[in-house]
Amino acid sequence: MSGGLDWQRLAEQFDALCELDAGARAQALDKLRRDQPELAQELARMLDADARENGVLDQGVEAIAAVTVAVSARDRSGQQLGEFVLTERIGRGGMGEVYRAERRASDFEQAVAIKLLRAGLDGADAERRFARERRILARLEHPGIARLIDGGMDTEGVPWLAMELVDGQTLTAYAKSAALSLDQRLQLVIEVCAAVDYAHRRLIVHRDLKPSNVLVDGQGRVKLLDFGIAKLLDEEEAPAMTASGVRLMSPAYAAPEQILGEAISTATDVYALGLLLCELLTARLPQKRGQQSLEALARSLDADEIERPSALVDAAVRDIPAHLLVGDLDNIVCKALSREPERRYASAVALAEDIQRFRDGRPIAARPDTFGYRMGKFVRRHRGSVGASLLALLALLIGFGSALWQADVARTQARLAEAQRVRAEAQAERAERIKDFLIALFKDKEPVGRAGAKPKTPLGMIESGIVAAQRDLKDDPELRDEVLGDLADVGVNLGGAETAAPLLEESLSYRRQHYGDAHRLVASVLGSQVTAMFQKGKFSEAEPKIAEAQAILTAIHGPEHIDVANMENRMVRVLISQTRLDEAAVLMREVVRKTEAHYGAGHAELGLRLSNLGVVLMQMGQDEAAQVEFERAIAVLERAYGPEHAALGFPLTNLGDLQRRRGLLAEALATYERDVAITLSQLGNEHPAYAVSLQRLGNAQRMNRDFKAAETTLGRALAIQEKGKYNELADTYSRLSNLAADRDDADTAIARATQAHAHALATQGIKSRLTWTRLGFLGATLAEAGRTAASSESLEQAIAGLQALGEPAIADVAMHQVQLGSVRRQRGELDQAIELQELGLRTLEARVKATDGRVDTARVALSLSLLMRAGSADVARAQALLGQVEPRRSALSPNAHAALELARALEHRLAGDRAEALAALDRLDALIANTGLDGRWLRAESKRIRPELKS
Amino acid sequence: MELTELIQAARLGDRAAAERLFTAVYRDLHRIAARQLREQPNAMATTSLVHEAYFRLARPESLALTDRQHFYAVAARAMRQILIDHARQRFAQKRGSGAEPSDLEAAEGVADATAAGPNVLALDAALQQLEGMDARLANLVELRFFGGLTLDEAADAAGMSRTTVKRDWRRARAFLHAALGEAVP
Repeated sequence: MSGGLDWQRLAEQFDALCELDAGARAQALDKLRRDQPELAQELARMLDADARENGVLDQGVEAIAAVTVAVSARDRSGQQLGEFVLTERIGRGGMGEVYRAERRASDFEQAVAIKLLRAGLDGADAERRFARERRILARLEHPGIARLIDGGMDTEGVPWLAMELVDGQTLTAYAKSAALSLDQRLQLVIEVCAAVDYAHRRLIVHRDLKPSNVLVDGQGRVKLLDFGIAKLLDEEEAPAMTASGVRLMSPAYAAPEQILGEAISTATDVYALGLLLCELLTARLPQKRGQQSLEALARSLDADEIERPSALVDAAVRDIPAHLLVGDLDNIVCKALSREPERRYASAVALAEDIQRFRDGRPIAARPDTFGYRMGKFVRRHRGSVGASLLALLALLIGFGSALWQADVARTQARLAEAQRVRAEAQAERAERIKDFLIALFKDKEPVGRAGAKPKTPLGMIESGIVAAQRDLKDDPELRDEVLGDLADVGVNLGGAETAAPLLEESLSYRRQHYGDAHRLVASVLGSQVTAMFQKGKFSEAEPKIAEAQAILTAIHGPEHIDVANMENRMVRVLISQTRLDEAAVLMREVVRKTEAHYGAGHAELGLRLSNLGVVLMQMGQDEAAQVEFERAIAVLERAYGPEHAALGFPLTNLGDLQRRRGLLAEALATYERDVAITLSQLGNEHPAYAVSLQRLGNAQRMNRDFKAAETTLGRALAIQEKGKYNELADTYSRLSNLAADRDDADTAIARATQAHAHALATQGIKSRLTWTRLGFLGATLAEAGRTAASSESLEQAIAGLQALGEPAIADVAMHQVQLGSVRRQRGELDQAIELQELGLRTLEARVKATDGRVDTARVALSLSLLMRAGSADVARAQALLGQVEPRRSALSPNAHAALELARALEHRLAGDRAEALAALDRLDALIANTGLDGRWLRAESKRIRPELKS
Repeated sequence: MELTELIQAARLGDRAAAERLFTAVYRDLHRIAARQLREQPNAMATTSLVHEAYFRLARPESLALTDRQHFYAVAARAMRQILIDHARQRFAQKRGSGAEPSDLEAAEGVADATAAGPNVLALDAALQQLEGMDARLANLVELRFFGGLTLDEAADAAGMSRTTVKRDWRRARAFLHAALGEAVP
């Protein structure tokens, strides 16, 4: 076809002629041939083609694709690869082809399996990665894992791997042909777990465990094939692409995170092991996995409960009777197949151990619902209100991330067992009763096997335990009290302070009467009461209880005992709440010393205590000392738990806050990023604690002026919090408001600040400080946007609201007065500004310690107003105030620091010292640029004054 | 960068992002195609290929309409490129080695490469010609033929009405078949 054709005309003619019948079309064509022969010729060809069927386009791309995409199917037997000669093709699979090959050397002959991977490697990078992975895989030496012997690339760039040649059957085929018993099958799975765990400890995840990759050799030993090869193929993908990891999976054996393109971890293999176990026991896979497409599987993930293996057993093909699977084995499989990776067994070995427990007839660890998961969620949700040291204590008590419920049961059992031992000699019969009671209690807590029965919440179980104890142990008051005391204690820790409170009160008076005031058991119930009070935020009320328990424990064990230290740790929390910070610091150092003496320098408990010490120091404004303690805490916790434990969240969060406050943004970002990574991996992507971590990171990113990242991060936090209706939502709204303000989007900033206040008002009510400080925040936002009238109104309301709260909010009232003064100053109402700020400063000086940063902030704000009015006494007063602040210059918040520079600039300008004034402005601008502070007004002032000075 | 962001950036004209997106989709399609072909040599449906790539890479619910459209366009183009690359590679091999490139196993339902090889290259050449005259039509051919989308899906992906797409398709089909009739008598 010639290039000069008018396509538009051709197309239009074509459309027109298509509409005509054959006769009319021929006529029209003839006419065209005369006028425009070229066009007519092309048109005729198109009309011909239009009438023909079965052209390339009609056959569909399949016809072409079937040939062109086909990987070379030729048999490469006889070819040489490295030192090996391919002798026979023995398999073709998802990863490529497998050949039997031999290495011939003068003195030995070695048979291996050679795998030709189907993906070609593009580029030097991919080759380097392949070589690196190969070296890592070559280090796997375990009798249960087929060894990687060699590898390389052929001349066409096809990567190949030489592996130990395993002569055997697949696990499922072997189990069937050898007619293995249930116990023998379980033994094999345990062996598989051991091999998988070996690799996991070397940080290698299989990613593609399925029966065809698990062989059993002639001696009946398992051998895993293709360890880590899935990843090796996958490495080619862009690393951040969300769906990486899924491509090579056969859908039937893919874990949910693989189907959904989420992060792959050792838990992915644990899931596959669960499927393997299920298939070995029932000859089936759950969720009709065999027949479903990936897409259908992904859709069913959230909708479906996991089917119990016992319900899957097919009568026709069953090897193992269903009744053997009901209960424990069902639970083991279901735990391994949990949707969320963190709810599965923590490791392949943990799965193996549970299987072994079943084989030994011991109680297994798997429960239909993992209570630790819920508890962790609860604790993190209430993080803000409960307070850091209490949380640290709770975390110690119960062990974060582990199955908390089990820990509590174990604890209760341990105590009861202890009680049992003490009394056994004298009262064997009584010991029996405890056992019976416990068995009855826990039998009731076994929802599996009771189809339709809803699993109880942990607290629900404790409550029914309380009822049972009150009913069944009536005739033995001492035992009854002890059991009830323990149950109430567990109840408190599960958030049931209300349920437990009367019980604890009753137990306290029984114990005082029965054992005397100075008994260990009295201290123990006092401790439970303190926990309950802390949950309600009643720190001051708890003080006498703590003091009494402390005295009892000191009398029994001496002052250095760890129980005493733990009680003192709680006292520190009380002291912080009363801002008795010096006392708190002294006591906290004592606690740290005793904890270290008791547990040693590397123990996790010491880490948590150090974190608490950091919190105290931070409250005192001793930022550098606080940072040292947080860093020590992190180091200790890393040593004790490894680099990814959830307990690291406390010191990391605190450290990040501290770094941010000190203007060390880069450091703060790194700290928050690590915190985010840990909370994500330990708690999952819907956890409120993850949202809180995101929120902090997002704020730091904003301050770092990385607005895009901040928006994404805060958006994620918001989505989680809106979905779960979490309290911290108001914080996120505030952060988003800051972000909008930074982007000079004043309307959004004000809208978000309004949302934050509305949310606080709706959830906390007018009796909460937070509600009013959020309104104050709205006021500040309005002021930044220049809407000073609306700002004054918000701030005035906030002040009134805070004043109604009385004593505890006095410092807040003062700070808001200072802020309102600044707004008045912005409006040029300098007299009112100074009056308000003098008032605020007087209150602060009287109420909080001189070293408290807020006092200095107020002094700087007042100085600014004074220097602007510049009345006869004003300048001298401002200079005096600034002189007070100057020694603590380095401890000032970035905002106050910047305001200080502005004040200095004004001062020098008044004195006529232009150079000094300009220098101060330069420092101010540098601060704004480097610390990401919210300094729009300051920036504007700097800009306004600068030209005056230059002229 | 997440895929969603990649698509958005590419759609808004970020060339580096567009290249990364194309590479990712290309690779993915390639793998899916190769795998499907091995598993079910006779039943490879391209429709599900592009859809599967879409599902795996993008996850349906996560993309806005405009991004989805963009994704399909990229996937279809990637499919075209895959087929062309393979055809070229095959001929290069044949010429280079002087030997028969492969004794493709008829038992596996794989047709002879020589028959389809010229077709895809010729089709590509004709398509390039069409592209020069009417990019919209060429785009539609990519979506429908290489992307395996149905008429309705293509209309949705191209953001055009069903009637327009139907008319365009007839035009394009007639033009290409006419051009191919010339090239391969």
